[in-house]
Amino acid sequence: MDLISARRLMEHPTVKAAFEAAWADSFAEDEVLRHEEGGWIILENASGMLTIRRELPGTRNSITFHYPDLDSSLSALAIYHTHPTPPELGEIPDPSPADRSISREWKLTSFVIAESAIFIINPLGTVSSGEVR
Amino acid sequence: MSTVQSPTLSTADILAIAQSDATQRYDNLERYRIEIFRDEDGWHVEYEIQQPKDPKVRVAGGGPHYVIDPVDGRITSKKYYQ
Repeated sequence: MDLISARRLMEHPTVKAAFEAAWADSFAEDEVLRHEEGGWIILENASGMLTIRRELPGTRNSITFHYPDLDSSLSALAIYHTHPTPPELGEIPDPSPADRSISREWKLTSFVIAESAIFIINPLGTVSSGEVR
Repeated sequence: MSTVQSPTLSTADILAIAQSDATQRYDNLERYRIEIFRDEDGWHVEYEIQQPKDPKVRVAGGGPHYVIDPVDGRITSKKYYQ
């Protein structure tokens, strides 16, 4: 998926709603409950409909992804997860080296949702500058 | 005339300095692989998430990255990835 397609995908109502839900569930403003959330953006090939599969909640600075077993009618388009710790606490919002290597290994676009920006990692592991939320 | 070189810290000292800061910021450091290498700007200590053996399972996340002065042990740069 190229950058233009990724930006278009971000604007899809299903994806926007998923990003907002993940951010809300991350409790970014709660020092104790703050944690990463994320999931998969799945395409139904015949209809073009998008569905979301959430992963289990992560920790303050990680989340585990399980590559889904999909039948031939479905395609994994992208993954997304949050970086809820605000920069003023010293943690940087940008994608980590591990975030980038997952995109490379699985050849998937990945979205990283931070407080004020959404970063796009392409399937080569390259990060675009953050898109303003 | 000979020059006097400042003694440099051992890698064990450098790791201890990094570990001391990292434990204050990250809950479970056992999940990380630690890379340590010397560069022009000092010792680099980088904590990277250890990935599961199952190629269908991957952990997105980050750890701390440090640059540490080889002589006085001062942390000159740190990045806390998430």
